[in-house]
Amino acid sequence: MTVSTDCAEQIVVGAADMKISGDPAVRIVTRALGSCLGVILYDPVVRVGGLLHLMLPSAQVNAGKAAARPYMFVDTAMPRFLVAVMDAGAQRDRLQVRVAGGASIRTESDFFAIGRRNLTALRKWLWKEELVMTASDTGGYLSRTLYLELRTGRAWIVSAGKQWDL
Amino acid sequence: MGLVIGDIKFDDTTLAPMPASVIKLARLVADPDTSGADYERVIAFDEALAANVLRMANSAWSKPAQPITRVRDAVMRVGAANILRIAIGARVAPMMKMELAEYELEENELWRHSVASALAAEHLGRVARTSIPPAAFTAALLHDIGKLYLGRQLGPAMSAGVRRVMEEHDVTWVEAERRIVGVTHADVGGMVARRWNFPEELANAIEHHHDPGAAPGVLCDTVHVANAVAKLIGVGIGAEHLNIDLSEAATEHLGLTATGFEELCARVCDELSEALATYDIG
Repeated sequence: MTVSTDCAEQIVVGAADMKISGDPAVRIVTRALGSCLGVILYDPVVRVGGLLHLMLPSAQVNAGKAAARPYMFVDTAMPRFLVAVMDAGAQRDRLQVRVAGGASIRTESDFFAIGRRNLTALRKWLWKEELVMTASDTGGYLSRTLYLELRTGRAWIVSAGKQWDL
Repeated sequence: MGLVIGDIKFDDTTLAPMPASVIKLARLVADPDTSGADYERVIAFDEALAANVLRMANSAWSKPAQPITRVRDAVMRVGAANILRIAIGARVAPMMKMELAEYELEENELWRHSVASALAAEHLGRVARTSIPPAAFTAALLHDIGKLYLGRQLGPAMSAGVRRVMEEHDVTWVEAERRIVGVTHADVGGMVARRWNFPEELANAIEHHHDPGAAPGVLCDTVHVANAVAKLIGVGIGAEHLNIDLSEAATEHLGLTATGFEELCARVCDELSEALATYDIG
């Protein structure tokens, strides 16, 4: 878990990692979301939030890896992410949940469409936890870069030379 | 003489040949009846390679109990397959680390993509129900070498055209290349590999890494899947994005399950930094 309190302009989240902040000067970014998902949890009242870059739907593929890299998998990342955001001051019933990424390569088989499988796993987890996905921009074949600005709670996507709000 | 494919003549001032030692090593690795002494003879004639092999033998990856100073001991320690990787890495890494604007690949991105693909090819044997040939690492490492040449040849205007065709006709990037340029980066890569006198099987795997049905065999299927793994984990996405086909036939031939595929993605992501450090040689 990383709770950032310094005034750095931009915090970068690598693959299979997450960053949380309550500093209004901070902007969190994660790049190259291919089939991976970028998940934002943000409380607009206290302006605390975080960004998670997860890669795969289930830690069942490798339990050892899940222990070392819990933020790689939906089922091991999301509980930790939720608790960490709340520890940093966010309130569960105010949380906005925004999701970007989950692109897929062209394949006839759903087995290898990891992007779609990630999204399904995340939706299931959110449903179980009674959290509502407030915004999403997923699928297709384009890679995305996702930003979160703590001061305003604004999130936006940059992809293939274009930019739009999430 | 330049390299000519279709109507395109490639400037070959940058297409320096592979050192003779690399070609000899590639043939040794492909031949099951070779011994350590054969490798030693090749390395003895290439000082730079000998130095790199000694470096790897003494690296954190190798963890020797005592410093290794003789080439013979280093060969045994590092292993035949790794020697070829070191030799090829030293030759192509400097070119692949350069920014390739035509493919929207920032500095180091093509190299990272190549190493990630090579790692995926190497680990495929653990998750698939097929044994993966030793040449798979090299073939995957070099699969996008054609992008260097085609990129320089195309220039920014041509790559904008490829992107437009890709978007307007909803085709893969490589198909858009074929429609706009007449050849693809995979075709060019195959030609480069042949020009470097690599074994035909390896050149074929590079040439058909986007259409493995045209080069039946484990090697090409492996490179095809390895490329997809690197893309899916977001390494070397570039202008092509994830707009590639994944052949169901290739995954079937390899006996690859969805779980195996995901495990492969996790493993490559996990080990990429270390692999980049191990093969970062020059």
